[in-house]
Amino acid sequence: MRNAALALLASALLAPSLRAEDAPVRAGEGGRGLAHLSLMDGVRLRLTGYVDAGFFATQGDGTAYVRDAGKLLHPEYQGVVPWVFLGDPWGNPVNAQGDSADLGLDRTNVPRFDPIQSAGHPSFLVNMVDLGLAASIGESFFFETSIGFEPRQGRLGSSGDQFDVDLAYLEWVPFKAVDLHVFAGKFESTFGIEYRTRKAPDRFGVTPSLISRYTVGTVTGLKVRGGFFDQRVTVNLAVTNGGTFTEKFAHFFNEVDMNGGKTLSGRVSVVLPLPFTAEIGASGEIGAQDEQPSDTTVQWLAGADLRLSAGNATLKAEILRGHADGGGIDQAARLRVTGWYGELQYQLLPWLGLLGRVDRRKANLLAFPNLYLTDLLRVTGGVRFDISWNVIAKLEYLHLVEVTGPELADDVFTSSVIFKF
Amino acid sequence: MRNRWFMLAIAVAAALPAAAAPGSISGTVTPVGGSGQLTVVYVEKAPEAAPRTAPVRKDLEQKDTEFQPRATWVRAGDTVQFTNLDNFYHNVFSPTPGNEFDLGLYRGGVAKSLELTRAGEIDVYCNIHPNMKAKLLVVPDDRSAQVAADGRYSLSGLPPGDYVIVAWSAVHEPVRREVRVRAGETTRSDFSLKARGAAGLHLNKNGEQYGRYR
Repeated sequence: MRNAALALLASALLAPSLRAEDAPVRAGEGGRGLAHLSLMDGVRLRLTGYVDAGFFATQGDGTAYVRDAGKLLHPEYQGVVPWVFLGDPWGNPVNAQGDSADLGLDRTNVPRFDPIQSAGHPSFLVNMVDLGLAASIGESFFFETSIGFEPRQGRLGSSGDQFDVDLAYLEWVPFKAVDLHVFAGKFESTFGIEYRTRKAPDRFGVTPSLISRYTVGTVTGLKVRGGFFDQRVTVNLAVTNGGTFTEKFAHFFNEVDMNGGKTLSGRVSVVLPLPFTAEIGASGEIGAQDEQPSDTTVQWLAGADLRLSAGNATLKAEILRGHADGGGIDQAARLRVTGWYGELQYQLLPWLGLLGRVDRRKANLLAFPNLYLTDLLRVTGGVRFDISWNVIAKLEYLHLVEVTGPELADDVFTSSVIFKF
Repeated sequence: MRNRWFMLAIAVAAALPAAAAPGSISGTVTPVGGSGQLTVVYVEKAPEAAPRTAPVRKDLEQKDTEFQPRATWVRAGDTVQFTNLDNFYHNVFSPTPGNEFDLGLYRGGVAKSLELTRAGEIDVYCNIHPNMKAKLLVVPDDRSAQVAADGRYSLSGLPPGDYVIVAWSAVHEPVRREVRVRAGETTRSDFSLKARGAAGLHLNKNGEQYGRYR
């Protein structure tokens, strides 16, 4: 009986590899299905998108920070700032875009986007509906736009349904034999490597790292990316309105630049000549601080990244340091941050993947009148099921450890089912 | 009586049309740079068609985000099986005119087959991983040979006549040559192959640039 059960289990696990192949396809007899719509003047148009729905449950009230009432733990801030908070408001995300289960009470009347407000209750949630149009004109021009919709109930502290033009750019490839791409519009970040998998269908797990809020934001401007020496060296340079921040609690970015100073950002990476994939990169970003009119208030990021891939395992790691002057006109937010993560992905079976991640963020964020002091270590474990190419299910558990300050009940279980097309 | 039968046999033999003895082509292929690559010499044009032989199957695997081997060759009518040995999805497609195909996306452990009926060189790509590239050579028939490690090749059993033969490698410019085969003789034809120029970028199966990040 036990052997029969084991055999049944083994056959279930191995089922994908036993799948009978289809009848042979004959070359030269055309594709199967419509790849794109052909429009006038040689324009080819393609629809893309995905739906990401999930279920999450959190410990406590769903928030990952707490007020230092009376500044008992940090008396050094008595008379310096009105409010001091400990923890990381975005440390307990439940979805790919990093939305927290709850941002707590709006004690300070500071405008903010609190997209979920679960109050600690388990909830189903449509995380994102994403629709995209991709058009190509000949072989040299490509246009892509991606619009994200977040269905939410509007109420005090939350503005309800959100939609965001996430990408809208024209890509020009001037030379056929040279890997050189020029982008204009709103395009992907040039900082680090996490932006490559920031969207739910591309992300191995469910949630982003603790430092993704600084690196994955889409930016508006001009970008040049080139691959050289058989694409072993990649250079990515951009001049944009603002930085790659997505921090929503203290605002660091805006679609339209509020100052004349532009942000320069870039990354250089090298693929090492090893028997497995080994890519190392260095990124930097500097410019006038977003969300305030002064050109001289500076915001910068510096970071390094590593990606190793061998067989069915991939290891990714990033480290960064960030700085925003703050102050100046309109009391822009002030930030000092360091952070890192290491993430191991292992595709155990064609339909089963395992995820482990450790990340850390230390930050001092003054968004007057609030001061957020964070020293957070987070351990994440996850599993994913590739049901088909179009359908993926993921489960994830995040354990948060407040390294300094009070330990909070703020662990998260979250899940996601994605249908992409 | 015995002499009569002997004379009859001679008369019959003389009356039959003379069957021409086949000839052959042999020689060496010397690659300039990129040695050790799969190299094939095959007949592209011949005075008469070759008899069809039973089709065979060759394997081209997807492993560690690469096609393995990166080049292979088959005869028209043969089948290539693409087996995904990675634990993630791959696609196999070709935009080569006349031999376009798209095997779709499929997960690890699954194999898909492709029947090739038209001779020519075919570029093979994955629609997910732009660095995955392979070349398939489809030769018209059995009159083909893989060049040995020492650079030698031989095409035998060729009826006399004028032929066009090609020396092909995935990393060298193919060289075509007209060769006359005489009955019972071996014609020598040596090749020197020069490296191909940079292939440049290729587009995905939708005719677009690959993803916005690399």
